[in-house]
Amino acid sequence: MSNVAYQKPFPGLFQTLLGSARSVSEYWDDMFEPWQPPVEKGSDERVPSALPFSDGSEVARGPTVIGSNAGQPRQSIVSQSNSSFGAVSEAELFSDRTEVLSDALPDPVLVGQQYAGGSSSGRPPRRGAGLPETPAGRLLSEVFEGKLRTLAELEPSNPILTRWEAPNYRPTQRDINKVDLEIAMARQRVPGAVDSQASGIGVGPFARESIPARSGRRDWTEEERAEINRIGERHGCHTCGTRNSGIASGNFFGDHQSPTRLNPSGQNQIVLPQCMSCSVRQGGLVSSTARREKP
Amino acid sequence: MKQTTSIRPAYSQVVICDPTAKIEVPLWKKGVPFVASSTCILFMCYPEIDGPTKLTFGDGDDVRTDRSPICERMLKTPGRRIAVETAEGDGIFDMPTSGTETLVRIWANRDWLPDEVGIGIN
Repeated sequence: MSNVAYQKPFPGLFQTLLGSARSVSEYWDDMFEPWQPPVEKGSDERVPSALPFSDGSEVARGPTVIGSNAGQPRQSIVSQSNSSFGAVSEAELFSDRTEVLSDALPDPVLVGQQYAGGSSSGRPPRRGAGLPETPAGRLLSEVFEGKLRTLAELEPSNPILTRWEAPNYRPTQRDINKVDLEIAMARQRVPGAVDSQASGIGVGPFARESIPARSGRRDWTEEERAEINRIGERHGCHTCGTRNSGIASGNFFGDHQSPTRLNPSGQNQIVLPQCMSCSVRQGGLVSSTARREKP
Repeated sequence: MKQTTSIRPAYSQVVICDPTAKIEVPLWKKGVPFVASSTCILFMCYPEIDGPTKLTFGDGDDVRTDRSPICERMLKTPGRRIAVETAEGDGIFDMPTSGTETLVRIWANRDWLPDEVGIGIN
């Protein structure tokens, strides 16, 4: 709803809204072109009966006084006349170059009424409810809830379980990855875990993001490799924090957590970026631990 | 006789030891191509994230190259076997030895992060 819709029946309001210091009479004068015959102010007779078009046709401009607003700027409609146009609203040009395209009276403005962002258009509002959940989104939500339950079993007081969510919060894959990382760290915090952070094998202190591991193998896809590098360049090696991978290619090593050799039960693994030095060092520790664990 | 394979070993290293014996795995030090104890050698390969390493294993005379060996160590092999494994314990090569101590020599096409490694047993 443009401000023009308000200004026609309430010129005073128009002035207030636009901050105009001009009087109504000046405003009235500016409504007409210089070629229009001068008539007395406030008279509808001043309005020409037709407006010429560039093709020589004319559009009838009969006065249409609405209600008791005579003397105020009017609204009128275009008759088809000789014009080839259809039912086109007449454009009354005002001093500020705005125009009115309809003769409908504007609805009164109600204080406290919401005039934008409603649902009449069928589109969701910008805030609040969000998009309806898709099947993929529902699956993500279920996986997310399941992982939160797993984390709750491992560490009931884990801070990540206390969440502040919007009413229609939709978890993303990144949210799931974050819970996965927390689960991996929670498992390694269990007393007696061989792959604890202190052992140098587990999730390091610089771990911030991870990706899910498809398997314990190191057959990375291009997307996985790019994501490992992105996380490594952003947060550094999860063990030592360096952003230098230590090799000429700049690629970070993908480190499975828990280490595949120390994950005989096949629990879900995550992949974290690691630098060359930490990867090699961890390899020795995994080898040592695995042989010690060997029956 | 020699055996050859091309792999991307986990943690970019291989473990050389007697698979039947209890071994002491040495700790890595920064900037060295290998570390060794009396029962085990850890040797660094080409970064697995960047590509495979061609590994050759066999008798020293079959594996040797023109370059001098990077590593030359005597390993205890009480079980009279010697193996090349990944850090995760997966076997790559395995062969019997003649005694309870075995000389292991390792050649490579470059000193740091080689992509061709020969492991010779005598």
